[in-house]
Amino acid sequence: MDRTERLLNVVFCLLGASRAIPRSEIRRLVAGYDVDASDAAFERMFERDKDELRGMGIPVETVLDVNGEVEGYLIARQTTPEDLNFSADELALLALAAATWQEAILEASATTAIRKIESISGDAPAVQGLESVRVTATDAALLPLMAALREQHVIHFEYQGRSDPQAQRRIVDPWGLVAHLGHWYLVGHDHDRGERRIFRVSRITGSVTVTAKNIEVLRPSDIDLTEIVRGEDAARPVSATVWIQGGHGAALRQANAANLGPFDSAEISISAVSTDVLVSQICAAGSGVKVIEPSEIRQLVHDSLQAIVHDHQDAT
Amino acid sequence: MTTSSSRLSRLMTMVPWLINHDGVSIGVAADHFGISAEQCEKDLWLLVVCGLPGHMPDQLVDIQFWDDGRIHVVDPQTLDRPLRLSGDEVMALIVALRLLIQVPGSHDRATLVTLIERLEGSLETNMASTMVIDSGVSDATTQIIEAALRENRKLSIIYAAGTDDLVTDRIVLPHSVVTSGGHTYLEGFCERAQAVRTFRVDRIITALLGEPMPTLTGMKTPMPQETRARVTLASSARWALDTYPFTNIEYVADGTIQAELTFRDPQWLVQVVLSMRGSLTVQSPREARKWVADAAVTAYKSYS
Repeated sequence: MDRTERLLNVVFCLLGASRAIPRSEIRRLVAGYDVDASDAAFERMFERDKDELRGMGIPVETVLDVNGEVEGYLIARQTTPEDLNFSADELALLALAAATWQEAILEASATTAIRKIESISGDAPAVQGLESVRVTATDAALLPLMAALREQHVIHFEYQGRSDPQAQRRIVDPWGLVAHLGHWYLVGHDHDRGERRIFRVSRITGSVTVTAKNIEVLRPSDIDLTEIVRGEDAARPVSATVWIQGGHGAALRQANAANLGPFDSAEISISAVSTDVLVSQICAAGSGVKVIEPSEIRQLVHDSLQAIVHDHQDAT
Repeated sequence: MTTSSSRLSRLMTMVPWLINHDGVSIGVAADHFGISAEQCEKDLWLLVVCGLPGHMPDQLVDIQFWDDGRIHVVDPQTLDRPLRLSGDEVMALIVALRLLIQVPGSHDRATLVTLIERLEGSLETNMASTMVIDSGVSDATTQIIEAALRENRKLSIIYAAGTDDLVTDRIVLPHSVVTSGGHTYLEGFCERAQAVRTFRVDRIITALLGEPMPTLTGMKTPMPQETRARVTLASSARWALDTYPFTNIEYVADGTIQAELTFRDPQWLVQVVLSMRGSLTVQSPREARKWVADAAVTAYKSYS
């Protein structure tokens, strides 16, 4: 029998049941579980089916008896048509929102959401305007991270940050996910470091494990995740004085001298999160920016440009 | 999602939809669910053999569709209405609605806010603000661009270009807003370049409304051609692989990385190579090596 057919039969067996259905009954009633299979084989099959249904967002509830033993399972409806009833204007915006997930990680969820809403509220109009607005989210790690956030469970994963020589295991209480200028960041409490940390999701190597443990440190209620991720950019302990030519060094101007006329040449103070980043930014501006002090930064820029000239000089 | 779960979730949303579209043809239903007519028929056949345990005739889903190709749900069993939205489904909608709020356009922001609040209220745990998109665009700029699009006015912008690191003053005839790679872009005809250009909205330093736009025809010019440069990356610069568009990545035994870097604008390529401080070397084409060499020599001269 087709796997979809068996799963659908499980849904029929449990959906809207007035009492918990024990495993033995599910095994007997649901077409698709082989009557001759061993107990162990049935258990494996049913566990997988249950996980798959839950993975689809179908709320298969485990009901415990007074002794804490599993009595059985059921799928509660938990919905009234009112929950999915939206006005025509709202429906148009929801359809537009769902369409932005095209080719991103929640495309299937967004599609199913709209279909459920349409079956109560009527068909959504075709999306008009903003057709090319897209959510950028393709990191596979986002799905387990979302599940962990929803369940408030501890996670662990291998992570190689920009300055880490190799990947290391990090154990984290997840607090939230922020997409900032095209990259997703996880904000959470790092168990080993005992502090809040920000992780770039694309730098998680391998898979994310969601443990069964509840998180230890809850997200403080007064924090703003967007500000924390932006703040990572804003903490800039390293600085230098540079001469900037009118109209040049656009990135440095935007970050450091917002009040300077864009076409004015001037001596300005610039800063960055680390010496490496500051030197990179100065080099990128080429001859439009020149370091005045400190001499350490001046020397690093000099050496970097010298290395680039050396590596490419046969082409001049 | 596996094949069986994506099919199952379609089957479960199909029945309530069919009830609301009694007598719909198989072709129209197939279009709505993005499947072929053959697949739609297979789905219907699967539904009619499923039902409550026991499989007595009155315990099966009953759908008639074989007479005239029109679909009538006679007995939907318990599939008469959809399940509630799952956590991922609600989050997908909330995250996208929050993105729409930040994108300039004529859509109604008050309705977006109402929808977000309603959906957030339906989540069990306090997931409300755990997943957010920050496009880095100021409200003031968003409002000016919206006004320009709505009133068909030119925009006068001061733009901090990412490709050549130059600040420029431009008059733009805006025609649309697109998002790509997490950034919001304004597309329009640039009077200075006399061509259609794309401007990253978070790099617009100031924007002012200009004079009314003339009617435009056939002004779309293609983007510059994509080109690839063959480059070598030092092992310490491995982090750059997820920052810039590298392809054909090969790890060499000595720890270095050989790859191709895609670019459209030579100035952008030069800027990236300069910022990598010697850990990224262009191997070919020779022309690209020369662009880098010229820029590096000019900058280097001012220090010696």
